[in-house]
Amino acid sequence: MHDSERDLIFGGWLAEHKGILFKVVHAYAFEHADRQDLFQEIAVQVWRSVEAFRGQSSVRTWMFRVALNTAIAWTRKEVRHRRGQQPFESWEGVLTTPSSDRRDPRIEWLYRQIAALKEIDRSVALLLLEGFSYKEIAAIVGITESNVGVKINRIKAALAAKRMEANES
Amino acid sequence: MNMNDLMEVWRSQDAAPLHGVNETLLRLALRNDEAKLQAQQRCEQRVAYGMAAFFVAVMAVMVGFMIHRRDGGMLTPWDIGIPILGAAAALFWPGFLRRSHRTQALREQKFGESLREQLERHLTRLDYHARRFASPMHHLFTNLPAIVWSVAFFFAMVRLNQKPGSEVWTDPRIWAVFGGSLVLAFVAVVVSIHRQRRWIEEELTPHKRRLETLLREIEE
Repeated sequence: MHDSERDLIFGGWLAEHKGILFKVVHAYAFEHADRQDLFQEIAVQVWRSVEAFRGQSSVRTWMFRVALNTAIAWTRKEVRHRRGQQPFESWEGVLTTPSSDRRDPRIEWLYRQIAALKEIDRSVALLLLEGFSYKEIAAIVGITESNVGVKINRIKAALAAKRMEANES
Repeated sequence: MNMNDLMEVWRSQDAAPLHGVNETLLRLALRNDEAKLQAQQRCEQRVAYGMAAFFVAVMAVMVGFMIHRRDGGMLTPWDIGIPILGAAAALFWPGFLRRSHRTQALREQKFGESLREQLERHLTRLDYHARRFASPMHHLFTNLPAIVWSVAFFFAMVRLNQKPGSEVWTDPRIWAVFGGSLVLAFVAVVVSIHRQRRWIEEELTPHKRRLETLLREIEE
């Protein structure tokens, strides 16, 4: 596959599903610099994965899969080591942050609750909030549907407890 | 708010994304990044093959000099055999590395795309690095060729500079230089092993533990 063809496909994916990348980045990285680094790593992995995409799942599912797989194994130190401590000067200005007045406090609250979950549960929570079925979540994470059910019940219980806590205060 | 409300709030992000992306710059950065990585890989390969070719060429030149400068009476099978041994050692190193990387790439191919399998793939890669740097065989295979080549070079140089009729091998200075070089090589190998072990302990092992914890978390 030529780079221009890959660029074209990647551009289409990004235009339609870039929100997926932001959601995963926000669930797994909490400092601005870490978010920039993780976004770069996910973008690189999605770009590379274009060639491997066979259309057996939707592009949305594929991008979620690649983004979560990258985020969960990502550590800043490891990536820097693998890339030989090369600074990413060419990435300056790629990711921009809109003004904070556009941020919905309920979304901020949700991200805080997701961040408090265990790392694998964070993936399941993201997929659940995105509306993926138990079967799809099981295939993406690589566990049984009943295991997905257990995890989702636990996540729902944690969210409910936090909602009650927030309402009381 | 129930779960459906939360999902609705969550989806509202799609209308007002958390970030903006300069897509033209992103594509340029991706290409740049990929080109850099490919250039780095090509450079590593070229260095490995270039060094091997250089070391083989040095040994070939030595054999040429040996045949040219020595009359038939002084040329022994060792004079040819030792440089050939040195050349073989120089060729062995890139071959060993290439085979080792290829075996690992094949091992990683068997994993699927699910999160669990990708974590297992990462673990296999970390295990591969840990095994490589912890295994005495790895150190033997990576350091011995360089030592064998250096020894071959040393003996070939001594033979090339030997004056007709002189008994160079009984000169203690030759053995002192040889012994000193071996000790230095041994110290260099020990330092390199120590540094790699420290890297395993400080970098690989914590990362491996984290991945193992994540795999356990998947089962919970």
